[in-house]
Amino acid sequence: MGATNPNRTGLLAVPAGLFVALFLLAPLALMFRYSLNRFAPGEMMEQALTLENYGKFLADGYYQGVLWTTLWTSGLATLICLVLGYPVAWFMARTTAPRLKSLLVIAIVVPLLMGNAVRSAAWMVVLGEKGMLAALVGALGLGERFGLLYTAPGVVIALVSVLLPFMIITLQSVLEGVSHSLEEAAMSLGASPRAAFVQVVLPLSLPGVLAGTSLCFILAMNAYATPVLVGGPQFHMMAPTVYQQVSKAMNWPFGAALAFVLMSVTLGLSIAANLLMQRRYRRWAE
Amino acid sequence: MTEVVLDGVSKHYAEMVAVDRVSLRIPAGQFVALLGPSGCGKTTTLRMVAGFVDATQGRITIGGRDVTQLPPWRRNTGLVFQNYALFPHRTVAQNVGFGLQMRGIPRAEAAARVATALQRVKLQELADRLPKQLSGGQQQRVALARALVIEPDVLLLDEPLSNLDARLRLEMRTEIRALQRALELTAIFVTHDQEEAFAIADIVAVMHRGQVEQVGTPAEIYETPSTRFVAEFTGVHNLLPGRVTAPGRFETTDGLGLACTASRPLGSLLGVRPERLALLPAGATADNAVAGQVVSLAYLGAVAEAEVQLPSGPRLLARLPAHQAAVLAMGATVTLGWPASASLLLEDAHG
Ligand SMILES: Nc1ncnc2c1ncn2[C@@H]1O[C@H](COP(=O)(O)OP(=O)(O)OP(=O)(O)O)[C@@H](O)[C@H]1O
Ligand SMILES: [Mg+2]
Repeated sequence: MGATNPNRTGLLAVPAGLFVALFLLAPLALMFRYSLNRFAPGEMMEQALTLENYGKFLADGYYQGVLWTTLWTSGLATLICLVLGYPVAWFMARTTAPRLKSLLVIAIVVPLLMGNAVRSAAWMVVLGEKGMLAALVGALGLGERFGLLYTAPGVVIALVSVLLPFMIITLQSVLEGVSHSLEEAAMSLGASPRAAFVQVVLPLSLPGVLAGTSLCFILAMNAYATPVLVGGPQFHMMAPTVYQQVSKAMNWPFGAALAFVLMSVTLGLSIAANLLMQRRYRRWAE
Repeated sequence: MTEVVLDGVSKHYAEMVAVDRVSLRIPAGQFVALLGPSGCGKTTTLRMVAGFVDATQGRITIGGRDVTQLPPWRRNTGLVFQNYALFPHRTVAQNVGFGLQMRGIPRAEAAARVATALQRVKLQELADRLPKQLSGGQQQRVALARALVIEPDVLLLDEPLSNLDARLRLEMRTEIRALQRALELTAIFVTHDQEEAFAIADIVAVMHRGQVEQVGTPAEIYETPSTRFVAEFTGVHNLLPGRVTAPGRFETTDGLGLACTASRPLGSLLGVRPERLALLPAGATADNAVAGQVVSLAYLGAVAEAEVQLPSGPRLLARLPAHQAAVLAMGATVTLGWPASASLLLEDAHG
């Protein structure tokens, strides 16, 4: 191929490539450059080529704690989404009742039409000490003033509610592609429905599990409205902390460095998960 | 070798009767074809035997064991799907070994049995390939090996050849038949292709609107179709209404006197297969001879089809050797003849 036989379909990728370069890579490059500058109170920053912002992150336990909180909150929320979402996606992919299915799709998509901020605000109403949850717990006589607002469990619950639709829709589309006749083939060969699921459906749905998990994890790691509104002043995750540095402390270089740490960790974990999965299923998943 | 019996088996979907009181006894080691047009209930019947569809009524026994209430995984049937349904994430050998794995057969024994099964379908070299690296014919062989390796009580095949090209189809059906004979398996094969059914089966059950219309050997079905539907479905194109006036005599409603075999049961239709009609040279005689005008000619290669308009009204379709038909011209007057034994008497009642 090469010069004698140019691959013309490659040209089709040019507009998208330009778009990515201009609107995604350029701001990233700019941010990275900022992260190497020096903080100068009063002005925006001072031109420099220094790693001291990254050094500050490594030296200051507070910011590592924020990253750690972000990681486990996101991991837990993603895991809960997977556990809750898989059966729903499975049901949607297999139901023979078309009405029920469209109803479920609507029920799952409609929340996406409202912004995260709106839904997180709604969770404040539910989880607060005078909220619906507290009223319910009180009515059952299980305790008084039971509130999850401004607590980690509250944030995880709210994150799950924000992310679950993404998980379900991703899993469903993959499970739809796993033909029911494969399960029947397994059963006719002596597999119980459980064995057919474990031996056939589950392995074939792993690409969907990976895609859904990556998507939810990335969204959770970068969540802003939910930790701010439901987590409150004492609960800190990375995205609000970046915002706080840039906009309140006016420390652009350190904010940029934090943003880069967040992005690298998220990207690194996602790539690692992909590689792991590919190694295991390289032969047929390609 | 296991006998399979369907006893008054029905399947109702709400108002829809998909299968209607089907009774069928399949002797051990016999190959039965369920033959019928689309929607007649063939697949539903087969899936009731496999256990994927619950019978609304009736009983199914496999080897004397009542399996009507058993789930598919306890029935020990070998099911071959039209779309193969191979597990895409498992190699050929792992696909074939699946049933043995589910039965907890020790690895060494399973490996040996998988190897034997692959040898039977001539795929031993491809054991480590993935399904997507195989041709359609090879995939169907894997599906067959996977169903055979578990030594099923009954082999169930739902149009297994319909995704293959014409040549491969012939090859595979011969192979399936040979394997079924060698392993002395009881088998049920679903198809809508009459030639395929006749070629592969010991017994053909012709289905129509959820019911079995006729059960018999291919020759019985061909020689003595018992209903108008079976006759038409198996290629009796020429049907002339009328009545039997005397033993061996049939008079059509438009006054044509025709000869038939006296011993056959009475009927209000006389049917003749296009391939039983012959072109009579001038002066030759036959039990039945009718003259008419050629109104259409179609050259099909080995044979040609000519439609002949009789003066009394009906048209007859004749399938003639192509070299004979070559001399025919549109509009020419010809005489068609057939022996009394080729006249089929049928009841007009439609299924
Ligand atoms: N799950 C179902 N719900 C309602 N009706 C059904 C269902 N499955 C099959 N039927 C109906 O039952 C009838 C028989 O279907 P079946 O699939 O057995 O036909 P078939 O003989 O295999 O046809 P084909 O040659 O097209 O495969 C059809 O009219 C079909 O529409
Ligand atoms: Mg069918």
